[in-house]
Amino acid sequence: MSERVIEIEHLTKYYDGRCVLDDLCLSIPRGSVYGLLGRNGVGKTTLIRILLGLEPPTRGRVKINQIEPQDLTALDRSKIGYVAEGHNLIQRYKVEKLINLCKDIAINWDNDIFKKLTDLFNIPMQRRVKELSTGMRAQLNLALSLSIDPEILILDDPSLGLDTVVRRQFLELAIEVIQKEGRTILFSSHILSDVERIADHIGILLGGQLVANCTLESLKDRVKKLRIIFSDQPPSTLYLTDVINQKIKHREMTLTIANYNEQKQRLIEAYYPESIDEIPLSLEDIFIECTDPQTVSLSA
Amino acid sequence: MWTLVKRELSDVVIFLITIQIITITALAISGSYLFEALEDKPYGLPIHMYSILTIGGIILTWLASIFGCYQMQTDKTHKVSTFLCTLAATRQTILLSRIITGLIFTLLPIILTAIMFYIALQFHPRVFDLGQYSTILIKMFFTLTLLAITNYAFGLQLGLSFDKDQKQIDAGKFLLLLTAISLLLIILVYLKGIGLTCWMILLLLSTCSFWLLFNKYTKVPL
Repeated sequence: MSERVIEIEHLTKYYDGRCVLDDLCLSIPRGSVYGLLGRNGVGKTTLIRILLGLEPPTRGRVKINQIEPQDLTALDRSKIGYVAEGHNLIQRYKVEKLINLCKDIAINWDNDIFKKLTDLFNIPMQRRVKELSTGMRAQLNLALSLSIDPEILILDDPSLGLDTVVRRQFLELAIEVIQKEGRTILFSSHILSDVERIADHIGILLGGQLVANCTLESLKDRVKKLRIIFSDQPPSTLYLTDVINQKIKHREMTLTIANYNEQKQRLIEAYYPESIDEIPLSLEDIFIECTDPQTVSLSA
Repeated sequence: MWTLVKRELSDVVIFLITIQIITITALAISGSYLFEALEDKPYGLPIHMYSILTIGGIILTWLASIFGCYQMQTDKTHKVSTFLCTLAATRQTILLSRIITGLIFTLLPIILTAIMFYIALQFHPRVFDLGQYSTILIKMFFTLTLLAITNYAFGLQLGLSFDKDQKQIDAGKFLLLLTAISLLLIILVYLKGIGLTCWMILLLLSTCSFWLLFNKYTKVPL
């Protein structure tokens, strides 16, 4: 479990003078399911593309399976399954031709898995890829990625444009992969309930940096939302560190705070509030709070 | 590697067949004139044979550059390399398979033409002595091969810089550029003449072009 499958050190990427990734550090242990979250344009896809060697970094070092992406051999690449955002397949090919190509190139092709998946998805073989619906393209892409029995599965917003049923099938298959020992999944998605369902580690990208990088439990444990009622007008600030968000309405103060502990609780109590209640937070709530520009870092 | 070459070939099969048809048709049309004895014999060759080799050479080298450009441009437009790179294939093997396909495209018509010339020279009743033409023919075919390969390499280079968002502008601009490059190389051959100097220049140009292409392609975002 301690072996790092993905290691990123001080990664910086500029696009046309705009900093997309800023000195980003991240490591993903083998066997984990890492949910990479972030709003549109924060660099999730760029990060994944750099990992796969499709994009060169401006600065910093990236390793996947302890090898830098540009040095990955065909054998190394055969251990990585990738489902791209928008399902980047060769659009003008017929499905059958694309499958044969992937089969011929693959070093480790599991025909049983592939057959099972294509039967399940009912993918029409004689149609061109561009004629398939978004859902079918996603299914085809996933089937191709899973049939190589990947050690690392990288899913870049794979459920984009999928209906609920297909999305559920997709997630179940991903869970099936996870159950195989030592398999690692890097999963980027905007559908946080999906991420919450399968991820055990969470990373939240904001302004080119990871503002959260820890296990899902730890994230839920460390970020608290408190409703504090005062007998009079609340103080404008409680002089606490790691405050993510603060709102005051009449006698009520709503406070989202990171790394909440007894010491911070005592500090709040020093203001003699009438009551302090904890508001339960879902991953989606945490994400919304964390993507506020004033967010503090929650890295492990 | 063979799978990738097969894929490249299947993608350009129409292009490949077209060029073979053009070559063979040109040869068939010219066949009837080929060995008419004429006073004027450039490089010691009958004028028609010389003209056909020259015109064929110009067309072939021009097509080779277009073919290289087309290969890279299609790759960019359809994001083929992006997809292949996520499979068990490296950028180096993808590029190498593309170049092998290009060489097949370039060399096949030359080899076909050479074989047809050889057969015609051996069996044509008015030409008995193949020996008197063989050296110059070999030199001409070798020059043609180098010329076509150099043009192909330049075509690949240009295709790599193709911007898919400016398809229309680039297509016209590239066609003009490729024609200009082909003409410049042909002029170079005429100025230097068929020989060692010309071969060395063409070899140097093609090697540099392939080396630059390799460096660029292995680093460029896909």
